[in-house]
Amino acid sequence: MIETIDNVTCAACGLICENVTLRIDDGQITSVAGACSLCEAQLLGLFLDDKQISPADAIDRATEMLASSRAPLICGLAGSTIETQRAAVALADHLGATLDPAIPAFHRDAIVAMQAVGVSTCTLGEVKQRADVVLFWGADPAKSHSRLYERFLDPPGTFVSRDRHIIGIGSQRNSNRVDEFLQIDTSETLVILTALRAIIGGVELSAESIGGINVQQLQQLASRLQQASYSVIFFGQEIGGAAEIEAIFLLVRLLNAQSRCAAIGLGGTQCENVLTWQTGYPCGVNFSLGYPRYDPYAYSTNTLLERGEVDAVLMVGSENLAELSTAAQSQLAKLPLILLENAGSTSSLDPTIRITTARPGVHCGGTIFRMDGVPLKLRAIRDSSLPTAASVLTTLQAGVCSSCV
Amino acid sequence: MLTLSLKSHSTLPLELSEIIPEIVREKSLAEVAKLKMWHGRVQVALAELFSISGSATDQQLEFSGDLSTAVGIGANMKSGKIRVHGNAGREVGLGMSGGEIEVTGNVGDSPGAEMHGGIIRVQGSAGNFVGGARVGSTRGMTGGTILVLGNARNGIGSRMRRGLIAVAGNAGELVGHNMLAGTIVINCACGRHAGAGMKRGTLCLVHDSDAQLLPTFRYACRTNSPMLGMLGRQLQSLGFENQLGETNRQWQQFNGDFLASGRGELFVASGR
Repeated sequence: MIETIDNVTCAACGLICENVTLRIDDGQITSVAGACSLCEAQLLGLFLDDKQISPADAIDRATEMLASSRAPLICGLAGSTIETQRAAVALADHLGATLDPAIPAFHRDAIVAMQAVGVSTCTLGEVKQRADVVLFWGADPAKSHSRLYERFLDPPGTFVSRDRHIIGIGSQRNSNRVDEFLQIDTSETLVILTALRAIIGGVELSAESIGGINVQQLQQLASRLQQASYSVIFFGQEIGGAAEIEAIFLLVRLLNAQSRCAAIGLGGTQCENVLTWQTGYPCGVNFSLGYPRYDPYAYSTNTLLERGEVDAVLMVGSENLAELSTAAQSQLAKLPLILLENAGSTSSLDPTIRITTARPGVHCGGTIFRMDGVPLKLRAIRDSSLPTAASVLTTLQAGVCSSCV
Repeated sequence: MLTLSLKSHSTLPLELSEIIPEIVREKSLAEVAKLKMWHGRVQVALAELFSISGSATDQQLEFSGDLSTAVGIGANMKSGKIRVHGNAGREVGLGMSGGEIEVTGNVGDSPGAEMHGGIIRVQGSAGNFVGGARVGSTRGMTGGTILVLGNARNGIGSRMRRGLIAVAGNAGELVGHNMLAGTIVINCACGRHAGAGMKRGTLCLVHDSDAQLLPTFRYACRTNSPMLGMLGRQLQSLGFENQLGETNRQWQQFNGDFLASGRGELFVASGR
């Protein structure tokens, strides 16, 4: 039987597009229309009534493994629903584990920078309706968020009176359509941001060229941002370090003195909201002493694995695996690993215990945070017999609690 | 002196923040042996992991063994002395307000973070954020002295408010990042972006005549300020070799960061 389903929500990247059309042929997704390559890679060929059965004793073995560990780590959670993230926090709390979401390094640095100086940000809806100047700094949306232009920048904005002006800054011009591009040496990012802040803040600069860029060019860029009614700075992977992102946030703050400006990290779906409202901290939360402690770097998955500070790992979803360093990945291969993986995922991991879970937005519903912090509903295309990641985590928690008594 | 020798090395974190002189000085050896500490998420008796001997009535503790995964050695101590023979992990002397810590090996990140007083001596190298603020905190160290004889990584004295940090080896990037006040001396090469966002305070780059400063620092003058000689003598009295007081040494003084308040001063050696 052939069936077409409209307005499907895709959770393959941070944009959470809500207008994908699927063609279902005998319970299998055979065509994905109105979607990007990331979405196609995730959904095409997926069976709606996936019957992958995890071994019957998988949960019991996983419970035993976690209960007997001295320093367990719960990681992953990138692309998980709120319900799954809440269940993971509860499990980490009961277990005394470290909980750290698999977010890219620049996303982690953005959290640290936001805690230091705050951030003025906005939703993608505001970008679409109000932003007349958009700056991409070290970001490559064509690769990571390929429908950003189509959905939010190309359509005319209700409050944008002239053509949207798009600026790119980065190490090399990529396939993104921009009206002007400034090529920089990324190791000079902080110097260039400092110079821009100085120009806008009225601090005198004596050099003619700063960070390899002519000061006149920087002045033109500064005046373009200052003259904007509503400018938005998207930053991405090429920005390295909390100090640089802090400088972006401070630049945005300066620009807000005259007009409106906002900064948005071009990352994946957000985990920090749930972690913060549940534990008080956005990432790198350690419960080993019975209460949450925070260190975004010392309790990061990378550091803990590299230093061998964990003896068992529960990974919820295998997204962003490439963010782990080689040393961390090789350590991960040596440790007992429980992997909760959505049906249809094809990670290269070889876990000790693999539990296949329902994919949110296909086999089950849920709520997910878009990259700008807007929560969006995912709905099940067809209910599946697969367990949800949240239910598996809750079962594990019950098992761990009963083994403690 | 109370001596604690690590029986066997474990890579899992050991929380040693409770084992400080003022807690153990009143306790007998048997009581010390029963003190609980966290090994990962499990509480164990101190004697399970350490061989313990001596007495802490003189407020002197000595750790030996590879304690590179130990967290918070000497955290919040107020008096006494801790000596670590070997490496120590992160947050050595976190929030301490008095006493002395000496580490013969290397230390991890954030030694002396948010300390208020006392002295930390590291004979090896140190990780990131020496004397800095923990993430989310507004202030790093507010007093005391940290002496590192090896190298130190990025963010030395980040958001520090007062106190003295001296590094005999090389320093990473962002020395004195967002510092509010205090003094930092770097004897060898210093990484980029020193003083970024500093409001007040003093940075002395003794060896680095080619320091790349941010464009928001301004050259002020050539100087041989008597303050540098005094600082040199103070460090000398603490056993930290330096050339700050050499009379024939010339310094370039810069002020910055003018994006903050511009009241910070940065001395860069300009040859002999």
